[in-house]
Amino acid sequence: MGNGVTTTEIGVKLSYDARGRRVLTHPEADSITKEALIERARAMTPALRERSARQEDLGQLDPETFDDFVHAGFFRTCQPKRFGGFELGLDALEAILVEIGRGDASAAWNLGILTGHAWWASMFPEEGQEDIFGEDGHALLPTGIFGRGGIAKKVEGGYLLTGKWLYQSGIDVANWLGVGAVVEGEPGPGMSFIVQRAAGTLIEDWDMMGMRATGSKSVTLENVFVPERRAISLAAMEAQELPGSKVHPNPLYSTPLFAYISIEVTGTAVGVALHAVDVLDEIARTKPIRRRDGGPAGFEMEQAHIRRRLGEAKSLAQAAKALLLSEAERLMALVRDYAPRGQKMSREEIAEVTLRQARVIELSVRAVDEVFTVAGTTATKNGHALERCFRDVHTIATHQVLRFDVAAEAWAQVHFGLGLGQTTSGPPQGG
Amino acid sequence: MARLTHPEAGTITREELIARAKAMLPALRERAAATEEARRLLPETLRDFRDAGFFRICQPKRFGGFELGLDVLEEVMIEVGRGCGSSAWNLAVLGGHNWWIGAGFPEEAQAEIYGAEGDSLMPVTFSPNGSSCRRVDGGYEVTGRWPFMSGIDVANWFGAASMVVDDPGAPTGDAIIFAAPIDQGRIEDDWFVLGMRGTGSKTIATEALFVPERRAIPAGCVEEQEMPGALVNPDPLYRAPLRAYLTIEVAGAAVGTALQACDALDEIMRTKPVRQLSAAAGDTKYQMEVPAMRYRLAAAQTLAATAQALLVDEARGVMARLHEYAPRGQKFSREEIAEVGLNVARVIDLCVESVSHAFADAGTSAAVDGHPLQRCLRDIYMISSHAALRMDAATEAWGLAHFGLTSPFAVRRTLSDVG
Repeated sequence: MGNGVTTTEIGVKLSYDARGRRVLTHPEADSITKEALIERARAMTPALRERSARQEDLGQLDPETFDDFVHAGFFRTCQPKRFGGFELGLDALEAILVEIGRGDASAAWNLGILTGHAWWASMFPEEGQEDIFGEDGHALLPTGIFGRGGIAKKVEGGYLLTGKWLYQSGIDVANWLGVGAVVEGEPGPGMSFIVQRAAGTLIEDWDMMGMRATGSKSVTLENVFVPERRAISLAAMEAQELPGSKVHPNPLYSTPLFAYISIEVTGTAVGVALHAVDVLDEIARTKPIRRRDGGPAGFEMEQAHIRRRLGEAKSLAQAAKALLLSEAERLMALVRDYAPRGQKMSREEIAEVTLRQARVIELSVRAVDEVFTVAGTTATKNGHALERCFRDVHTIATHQVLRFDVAAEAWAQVHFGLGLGQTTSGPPQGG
Repeated sequence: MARLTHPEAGTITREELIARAKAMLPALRERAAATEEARRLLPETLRDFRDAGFFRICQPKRFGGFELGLDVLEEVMIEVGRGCGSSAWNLAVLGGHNWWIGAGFPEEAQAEIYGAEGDSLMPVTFSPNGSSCRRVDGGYEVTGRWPFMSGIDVANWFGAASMVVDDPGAPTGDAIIFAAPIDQGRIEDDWFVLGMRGTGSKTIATEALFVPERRAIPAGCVEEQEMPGALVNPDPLYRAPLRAYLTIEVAGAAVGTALQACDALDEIMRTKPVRQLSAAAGDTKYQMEVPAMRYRLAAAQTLAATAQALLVDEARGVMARLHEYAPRGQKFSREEIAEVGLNVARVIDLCVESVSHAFADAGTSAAVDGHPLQRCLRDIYMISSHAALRMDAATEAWGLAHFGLTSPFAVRRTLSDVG
């Protein structure tokens, strides 16, 4: 574990069940609530905002913020209880992300990706999960899940992996990597693997307009051996038949990956929209306006157009938030309903989840733009919170899973039974 | 005092009511043109709503209601609106105001208005404009004309507000909100409008009508959130601030209309052929093959879904706060009420945008009289013209409340803007 946080501090208990299987128990596993986690996230807003500028300079998650997240248990939100997690739903994760994103977008994105992918790790075979979650359940992995970045060569007991994967958000604080590859000599979508982060070489290529502190750089692997227990078939993923759903009875672990990852990080954008609203609110109260008639100086809030834009932005942000949280709850309710009877989500149902998340992003962009339009030139100065919100939300909106045009076409193709419903640009390259 | 108990009170669920509303969809759509033509709620739809118990959703249990929340009413409204916007609006106003009777009036008046069966249907306008009344022995004498009385054709009561004047006829600064049997008012058939034609929102008039004191409450108690009904019906629902309640009450009709427009576009895309320059015989292609159409449907669908999520979230939020505030006697702040108005205005705005997308590329055949999409377009713009639902008014009301400002202009929303 990095950054000075130790297992002892967290107090995760290692034990063995009647069948001799390893069990990790977080001290808060049975007492933690969604509300308590949201409260912890909310309390972090001032600190997160204060650290934003230096974190952007650093180009990765701030070490103090990382420690705060570890202590708050955020990374364990969707992790199985058996491996030291809280096993709460995606609705809990998103509600936390909204609050964190209100403080800092890059920090929220890293939290969404890393927490989300601890869920991904729990889809692997049981012995693989035992490796990954180790003795303290601290498993943080950025991913390029799909088989586009690398080639895997089948060898005795596992695979040899070689390749390059882009957009590895949070890799600087991670201890594992999730990467996909096609298998040499085999047709099909390939396999997905989890390997130790130390096996990879980082490439400093994250030089972006926004979301600068997500540290979403590239990683390469060369002939790295991965045992079979840390490999899964992407065909099984598409068939919604991953080993983890048999390891953990909670329907959370039967959620289809494509539905899950569409929601995973979007709370970030909603948080940014709410942050922008806060910033304009502050400007409205504190920035003086000059009066031509020589009357007493007032503040921006006395101008009707400022109030109108603020009301527009606020209600757009609220709409984005309501859609996000209702979708996260809807997805959780759907898997609770389907999983016990072995029903899988249809491709249209999955595409609809993604489509609506694209709308969440679009509404968040609109909210930020409403604010930016009237905030004035001072808000465009480098380092101003609003300038950062503007860059961040527009960068988020470029993500290929979350672009409205792509999601709309993917959904409509499946909805009308046209073609194969593939997106125009294929699965994402990374988180 | 006698207690009325509906056989389903206490057992009926939100899910069951939503299922009943969903089951009505085909009939509502089939009747939508006739509803417009009749410019009122059709008797068969009235009967269906009655049989389903919809008017009783927010009615007090002790007067024959289900006493469920505003969130349940809205979820039912959304399904009904997906069938017919006008019918949904009437359901909101008539069903919703069965809450008003329980929240606004003292016990004796409630017993009288709900009647022996709890079968009250009472449109209300909360604007005193165009009306005045004077104090007389045992009550008030009310003269006035009140427009926009949605559902008046099927009502058995009506409610309105009136400015109290003194003997020379000068305003005293007070106003009352009263209820009267429907046959004591004169309906003027003046509902000729762009959309929502089937709501029958006509004018009602009275001349020197005697209203007994028990059926007239001072309007000030509404602003003060000190309405008499809270003493009669203990559920926190009956402490909801009127303005927040009314704003949400009708919004489900807009969300339903947006969903209906999405359904109509979906149908067009599956069934309307695309003209092809060189098609082989039998090789018909449909509008769904056109990428721009697919984009429009996805845009409309997600905007409608957003409006639905925001409305239900807002209704649940108000209910949750009522349950939190009621035990400690806390009232909603001016800003909180204005924020409900702001978010509901956003719901309406999203619905307008959704229907506009659905209409944009649907073709001229969808603009023909009687086409559901044409009706959705007229209905949604009609709804968005409502004083309590306009975005510009809502942002200003919220902005002023939020910053603790007052405006020299009459932009602050008063009771006259709702109902």
